Amino acid sequence: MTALYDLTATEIVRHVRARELSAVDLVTALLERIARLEPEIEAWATLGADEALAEAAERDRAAEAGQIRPLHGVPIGVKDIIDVAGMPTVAGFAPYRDRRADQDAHVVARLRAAGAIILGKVHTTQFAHADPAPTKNPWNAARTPGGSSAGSAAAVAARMVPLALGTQTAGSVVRPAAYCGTVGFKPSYNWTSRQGVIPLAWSLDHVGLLARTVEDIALAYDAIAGTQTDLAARRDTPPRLVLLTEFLERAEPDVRDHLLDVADRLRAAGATVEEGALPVDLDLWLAVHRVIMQAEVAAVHAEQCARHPDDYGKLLRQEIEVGQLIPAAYLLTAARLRRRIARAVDTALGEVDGYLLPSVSNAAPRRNTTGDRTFQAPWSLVGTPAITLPTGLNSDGLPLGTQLVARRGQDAALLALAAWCAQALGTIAPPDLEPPAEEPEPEAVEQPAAEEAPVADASTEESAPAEEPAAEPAAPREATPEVEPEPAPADPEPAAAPEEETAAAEATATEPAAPDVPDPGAANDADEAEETPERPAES
Amino acid sequence: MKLDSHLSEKKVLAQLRRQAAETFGPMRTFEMAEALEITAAALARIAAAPLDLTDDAPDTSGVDAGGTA
Repeated sequence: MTALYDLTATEIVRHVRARELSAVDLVTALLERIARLEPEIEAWATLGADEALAEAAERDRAAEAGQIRPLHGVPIGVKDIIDVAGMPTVAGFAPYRDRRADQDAHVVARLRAAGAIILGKVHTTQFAHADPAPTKNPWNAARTPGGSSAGSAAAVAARMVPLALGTQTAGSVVRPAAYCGTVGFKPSYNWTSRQGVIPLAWSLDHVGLLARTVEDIALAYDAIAGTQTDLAARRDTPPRLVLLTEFLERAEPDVRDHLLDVADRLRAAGATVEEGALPVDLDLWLAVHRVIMQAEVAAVHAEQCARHPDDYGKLLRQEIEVGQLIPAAYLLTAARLRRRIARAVDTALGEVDGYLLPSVSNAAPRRNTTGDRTFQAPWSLVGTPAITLPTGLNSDGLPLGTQLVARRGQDAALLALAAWCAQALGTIAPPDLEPPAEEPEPEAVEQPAAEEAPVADASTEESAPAEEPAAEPAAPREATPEVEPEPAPADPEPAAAPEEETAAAEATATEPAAPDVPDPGAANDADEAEETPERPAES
Repeated sequence: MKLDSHLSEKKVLAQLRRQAAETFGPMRTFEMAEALEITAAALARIAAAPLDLTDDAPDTSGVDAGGTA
């Protein structure tokens, strides 16, 4: 038996199709889970409980009539810089408190047309930049969930929702997904329209997807892009990967050791993994990203920041002001270098199936930062698709991610590569968020044995009190859970998980079910701190 | 600030600080000291990158993939 909140999007669609699951029951179960966990995690900016239940009822009626769509009945969380009709888009910016969207953003409209149910808006750092959101990491409330798609990653990791939309300008999908132990996918630049998405830096902004499995990512990607990704495309063709040494050298020891272990496990599964170097100096690459991003952020926000300086987070305001000082000749030189870098990466990635590197240099740090963007920003600059897989836990019981990168435009190939690697590497068990005392059993559905998630007893840990976020979050909005929240579960005592436990957890999490290919018969009728070692934040 | 591949990071930073003080005042310049340092390092690195007159034109729309914002 699987609790409803444990169902992946792929499983939800399968159960709905088989008339084994009511969308109303599912949404009700998720709202109850959110009501219980939200006081601790703070993932949600706005919940549209009534609207979601109404949509769910419509999905149930359609299912009864045999009208099943690719994401039929799948609840989704939307990052709060992306418009959802009738809901506020606050973007963590207090003056936007009453800024209500008239229509869905393009990506939301595509998901809704594919049968998804919009559960609500999840927290973002202010304007998807680097000042931390209020959200906590479900694995450890003293740690950052990353940013800027903080609520997206936390909500998916806490199994409040199976799928969420995020955005990435530097590292804002891949990093929070890695810190929270979920899958996070940043497709190629311009893979879909960004209409209805508040920009941060136009030429760097990517809409991205967060879920618990590669199958779910592909399901949502296909619904938005109108494609039919074949995750089994390379089932019998082990990949050729380059393990990028520059990133290993910059990673913390636990991250480096984990990635080396991942490489060994991939080799054991048949992959060819050879160490190699980037075709371009990484520091120059990061410098180009920084200058272009700062200039664009300044161009987007300068006027509004001048009107509301005190409403802007400290780091974003600095970015806007420093960005206004960048001379045009330097910006154009950066743009020339960007073209050169992208071409060199295209050439290098044309000879292999992908790059292999850690998703982030570290495990989730404390909450005064959103983490290090060094390992993700390069791919945002050149528009290559990148995906993070949750592949282990460190000795503190925090998730570690493995990042795969493919050539520009090769989104489907990267998803198939990720499916192959996920099958070879397994995944991690979700964070233990269940109350210690007896609670009524959640509603459950029968789960085929072959699809059960791998079991690993990964305990969460709670340590020192969380540091306050650097920026004041926007005030909470009206739409709140319809269900009275229960008190948050008592925080477990801070205790780093012993290495043996972690090793055991990783060992037991290496035999996942085979990738679940989206049903080809299903009609697809629907058409973004850093760093950086230098600075304590990012986007 | 002139684009000069021989301009040191220190000189770029000094010019950025001067501009910041003129534009945002000395207090804000002090508050954004670290950000100015990081950007100065990035600008100096970009200026020093070898680019011939006839090398690449600027990328004008992200990664030149067309622009559906």
